[in-house]
Amino acid sequence: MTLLPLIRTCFRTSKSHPLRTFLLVFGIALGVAGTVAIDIAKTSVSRSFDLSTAALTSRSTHQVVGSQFSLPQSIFTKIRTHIGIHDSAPVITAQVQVKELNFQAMTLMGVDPFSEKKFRAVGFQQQDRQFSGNLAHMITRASGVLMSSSLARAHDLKVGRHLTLMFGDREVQVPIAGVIEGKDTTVGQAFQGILLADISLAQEILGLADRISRIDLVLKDESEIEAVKNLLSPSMVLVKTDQQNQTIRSLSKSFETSLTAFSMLTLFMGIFLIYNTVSFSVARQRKLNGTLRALGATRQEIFWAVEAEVMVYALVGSVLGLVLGIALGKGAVHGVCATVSDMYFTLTVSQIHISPVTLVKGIATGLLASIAASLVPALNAAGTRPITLMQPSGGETSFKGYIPGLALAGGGMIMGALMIFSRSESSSTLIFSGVFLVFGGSSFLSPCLVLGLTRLIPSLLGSVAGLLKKGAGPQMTLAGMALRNIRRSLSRSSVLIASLMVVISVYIGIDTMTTSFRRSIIDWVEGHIGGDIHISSTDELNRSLDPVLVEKIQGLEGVSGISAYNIHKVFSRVSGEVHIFSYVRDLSEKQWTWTALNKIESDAIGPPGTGTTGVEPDGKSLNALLEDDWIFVSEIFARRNGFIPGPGAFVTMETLKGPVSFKVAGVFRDFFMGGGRVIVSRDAMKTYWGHQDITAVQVFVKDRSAIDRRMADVLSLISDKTRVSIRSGLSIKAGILGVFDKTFLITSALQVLTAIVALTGILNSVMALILERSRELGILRACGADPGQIRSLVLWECTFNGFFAGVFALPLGYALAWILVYIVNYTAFGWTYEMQASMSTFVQALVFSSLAAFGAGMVPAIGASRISVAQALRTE
Amino acid sequence: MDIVLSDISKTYSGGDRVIFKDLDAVFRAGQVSVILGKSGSGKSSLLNLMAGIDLPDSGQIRIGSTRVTELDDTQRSIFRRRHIGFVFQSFNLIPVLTVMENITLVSQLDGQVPGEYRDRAKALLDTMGLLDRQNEFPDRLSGGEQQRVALARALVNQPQIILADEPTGNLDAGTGAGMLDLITSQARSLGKTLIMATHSRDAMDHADKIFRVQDNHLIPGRGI
Amino acid sequence: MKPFKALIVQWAMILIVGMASGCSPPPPTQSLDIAQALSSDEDSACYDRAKKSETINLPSDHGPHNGFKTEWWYYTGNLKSGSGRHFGYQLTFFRQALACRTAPGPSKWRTNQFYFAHFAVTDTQNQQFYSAHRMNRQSVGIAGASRSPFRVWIDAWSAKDIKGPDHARPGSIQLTARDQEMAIDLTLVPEKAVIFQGDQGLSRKGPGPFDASHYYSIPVLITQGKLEIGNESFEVLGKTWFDHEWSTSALGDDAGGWDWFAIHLDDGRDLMVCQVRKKDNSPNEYGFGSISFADGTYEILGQSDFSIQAVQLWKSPKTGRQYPARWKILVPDHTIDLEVSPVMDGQEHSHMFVYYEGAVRVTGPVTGLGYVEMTGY
Repeated sequence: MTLLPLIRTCFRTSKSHPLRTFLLVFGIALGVAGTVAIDIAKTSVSRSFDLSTAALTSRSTHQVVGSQFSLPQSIFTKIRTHIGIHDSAPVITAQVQVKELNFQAMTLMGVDPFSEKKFRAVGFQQQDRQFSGNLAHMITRASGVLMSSSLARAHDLKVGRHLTLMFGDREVQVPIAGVIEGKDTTVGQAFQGILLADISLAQEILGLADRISRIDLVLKDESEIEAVKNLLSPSMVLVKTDQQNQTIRSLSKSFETSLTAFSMLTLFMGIFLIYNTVSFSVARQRKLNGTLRALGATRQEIFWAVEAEVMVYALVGSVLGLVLGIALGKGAVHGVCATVSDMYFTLTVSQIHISPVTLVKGIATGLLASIAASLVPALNAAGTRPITLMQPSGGETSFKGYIPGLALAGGGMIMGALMIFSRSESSSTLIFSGVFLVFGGSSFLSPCLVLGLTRLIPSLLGSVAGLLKKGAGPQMTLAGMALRNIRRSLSRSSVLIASLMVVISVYIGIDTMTTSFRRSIIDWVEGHIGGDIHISSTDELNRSLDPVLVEKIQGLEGVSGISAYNIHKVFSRVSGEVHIFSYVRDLSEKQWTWTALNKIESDAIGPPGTGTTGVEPDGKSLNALLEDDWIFVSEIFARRNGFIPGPGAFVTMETLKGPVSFKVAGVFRDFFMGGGRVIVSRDAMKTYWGHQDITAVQVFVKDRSAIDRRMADVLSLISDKTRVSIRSGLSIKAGILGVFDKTFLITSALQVLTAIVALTGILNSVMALILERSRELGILRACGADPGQIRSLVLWECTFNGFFAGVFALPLGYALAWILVYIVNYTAFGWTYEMQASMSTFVQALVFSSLAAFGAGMVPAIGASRISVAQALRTE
Repeated sequence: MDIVLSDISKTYSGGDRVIFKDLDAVFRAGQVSVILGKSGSGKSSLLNLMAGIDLPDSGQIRIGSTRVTELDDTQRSIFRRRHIGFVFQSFNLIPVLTVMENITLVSQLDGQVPGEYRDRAKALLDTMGLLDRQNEFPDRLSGGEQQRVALARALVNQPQIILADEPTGNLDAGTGAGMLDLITSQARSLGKTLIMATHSRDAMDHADKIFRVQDNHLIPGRGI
Repeated sequence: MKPFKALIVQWAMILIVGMASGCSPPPPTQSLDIAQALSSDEDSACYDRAKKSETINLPSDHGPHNGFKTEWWYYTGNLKSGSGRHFGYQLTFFRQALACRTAPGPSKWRTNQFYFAHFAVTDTQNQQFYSAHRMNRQSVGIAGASRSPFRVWIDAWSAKDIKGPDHARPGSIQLTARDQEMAIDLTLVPEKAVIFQGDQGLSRKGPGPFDASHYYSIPVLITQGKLEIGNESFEVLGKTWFDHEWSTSALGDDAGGWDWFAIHLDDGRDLMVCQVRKKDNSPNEYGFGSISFADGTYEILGQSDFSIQAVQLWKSPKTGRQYPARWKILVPDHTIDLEVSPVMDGQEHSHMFVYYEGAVRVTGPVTGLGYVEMTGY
């Protein structure tokens, strides 16, 4: 009870400083918002993955899949009639865009309703949903598809209307036979992304003849598993459903990991902002607390009063943060889902999922971070000496005593982080602990560094002042005073500098990561999309190009060469979907970046590529290797398959002839698709996967200025122009970069956030510093300093603070970028790229941090210059 | 309650600056004592020691039967708010609290019944001639008024002891004299022990006993 | 014989249509999809009808008659292990046309035919009844029936001709079915001639011109093979009754269900009697039956030739339905006076539609074993 008057006093004080209070609340809100937004993005992406796959994967224990994602349906008949496994269901799935749904990606799913009972159908029948439309017709006439009723409503579609299914440029019209009710449950949501059809109709739409996509099974024991295995031909694989789901889930995990990294960064910034705000707020109340102590308030009472006040603002800030975070999160979800669908896995259900857990987490983050951040300031406040004992620099002398200890602790934390990062594979928790250690360590080191710099710079300034004309003299004096001020109030300055440092380093880290990634992608695009004109089929159901066309193009005037190849998706137990490429020729013209070359073959294709140094092997040898049944695999593939380069290293892939082991000649850097990419010879493609077609052609022209004319020439050779796409290399490159740029929307948002946090933090701290110093400034004025000089002094101090933070942030930002690029990204996505630290980023950061500090100092500086001299002198 | 200081030694700046050495003194209950001394001689330090705000390096302070030097920080804080009223040179009113709230703060901290201390505070304000200003904030008051509020704050908990550190230091001469009258008359009429540190000679006229801080000791006597 | 199995389907339809139209209580959470699948709303006009001009030709008519709406092949029998332990078994295949025609389209999944089957074993000694069912569309060979050689199957459950065609009598049949708890692998060799029920195989069911079915039976097939329950396997021997019936039209509207008996008497005679009950449970005038003699000749029985009287009731704890559990069957012209009772209570199927099909024991002047089927309770 006795706390109440204290708390009230604290609140009155806060109320009389609305801006500072606003900054405190805003700081907490910002931290919470960032965490919540990214958590929403994370859970939504993960849920979208779940929903997009849940309806598809069903309750099966096992699945039979073909090595190329299709099976003859006779195997289903055999499973039913030869071994009598009734708990089996044939499934056809395909991705399709639906014109009437604004080209939304959907999964066309063909099932046999009679087989579904054990798998999916039961799901249709929960109380709140029922079919409208006649299922008997659906089967006997197989005249249309079923779609989610809410989706149909949203697009004003009714039973009987036609949908235009688009497979690339191929269009198929199909009527809506019925709608599936149920929007409140998981199943209902899952069906948001599905067009359900009788298997016969799906087969006909997709032109699958007598083939299906897969068979879902519930197998009860080993003997059933064996029995199924014995039925399968080499090109078919029996997989556990869990495993399959995990493969897809691992994609989602990639995003979750990288998003977690970002949410951690936001949280760090939030904590620093809160710490910064609270500690300045406490500093501001030093006199008040001193008086209270002299009047008989105990340390505990002061401590709890401070904490109670912070908690109330933390709660307000957290709630505001939730609101802000939800708004931001919604934007982020769309961005991330679009990226995922573009690049990895078509999310047919893109859902904003705001789980109570997220909200609780957000509030908890706000409260806990506030407690953590306010702990030290509150203890400080509790330790405030009664006002009659106060000496102006009392706190500072004791703080100086801590500096060596802090520096030591900081050094230790950074060492710890180094140990974590030197491990080859770390769990994400460990990685994030590492990041935390790096931030914490450098913050602890910062007072020591500030002390060093403030000693170093005056001498530099002195010599500079000497060189300058006399007019600069007073400014140099003020600058020197500003530096001494920083040193004198080190406990506060270093908080400001450390928090600014963290924020700026996040900016640098993200910027460096983004630019490095983009650079690598540009290199990769340049290397792999070398052709001037690209020709490919737009019919997603049949990608083969007419071989005659290829010959004709080659014969065209002005064409210097062509590179033809085929791509086929094959099933992989480990990575789900693997793209296999075989080139007709011309491997040498691509720019390969080898991240590993097999040692044995290093003689043939050049020195072993260690690390990330690019090696360009001789093209002939490459082809020779391929013809020898060696293969090249992408980095992602290698990682997914746990492939460790070395003599005799091989990987096993599912083929028409069953699992076959291939020797790996090299691992190349690649940003292509989720499951990875493999390059094989034309012969291997034919032997093992039964394809000898050409699915894409790159044309090299002699005169690049005449690309348009050459494109027209190529176009004239094509009879069915709707089925073939001709694009210039440039537009393809631009398209790919566009996709990747979208990926970084969320990081850009984070960068903006850092800027806001930085400005808020500085503004807050500087205002507190100025107020603390008002007496001193009063004395200065009394001694004859003019208002302009006071402004200069304040601005010098701010700018120095910003500059120091910027300087410290350079190595920290670099370290963060390194962690993001080599640890987080690799853990999340399995690819690496060269980190390219750009000078401009560093300069930008330094300038930004100094300017931001300068800018934030403006208002307080003007305030300081207006201090009433008499008032300032009297109040102490 | 008598205040007994025995063998008090106190140094600052890690022992470099000796303030008191083996200081002994007794302040009798109900008396008005004035401590004179130059600026920086240690008058304030002595008050801080007696208030339990600071601790001596060695020696013992006894107030009534309580050995203040043997209490921990929290116990001293509680002892302070119950038994000692403190008046500061620079008033140290809390700017965000009203006059009434400033006065009652200490009682509230002590968890007392609002009715009682509010009545006491009102009576005190009445005495000080400030009753009509009880809901004003300190920045609307003159220096003398602020110090009267501070005095009321020191008295509201009915402490036996009032410590005043340069209570007139921030007041002009006229106001200062009025303040001295007020503070001593209040102490006397209520039977309080009043110890006032000051360099104002006017204060001597009000004193029962005069001490001087000199050469690390407290020397009793009249005049300088 | 089981002329009125049509009722089962009919009645399932009523149930189903009720569900679909939502006028009945909330549908059970299971099998609504299937129920709806069955609720073909086409009228019967486009289907073939049973008529006198279509005489039954064997063995080709063992096969399916896809132009008719409904068809079934019914095997029920009583078996004994070497040690004399008694088992009853039932394996029934039903065919149902969901539409007269298959919608056009190249996919082999397209079909208008739908099959389901029931498989049951009665373990008299342990008083256990095992029942399972299967349901498939007739697509890509996962269910169907063929004419020559005869075969009807769903998944790995099948009945098939293993001896090749024989113009006088159908060939031997192999029955195979396996479910979680039980399995059979039986060889059935016909011992008596085919009975063409009703008027030379046209079994009238009602007053309308098409109220009839094509219906023939094989009264005795000597049955031998293996029967498994749990981990136990038995070599068994016994007799099976076989019915094959196909039709399109429905029973009269007033029909509420029926009680059907097929009994192998120890004196070499085999009796089938069936009474159709009206909604008020009293017999209507369309009862029918047959009696075959030891020498293989047979006589067709009409409603007036026999009587079935329930003398005791049994209530199913599972479904709450109440069935007769003991009967007196009289065929005065043939001095048959039987006391019939189930070998155990609870031989009730409670899958998509509920009915009672169980092994019965006959006492009286003559003893015997048989099967009862009761619907509409």
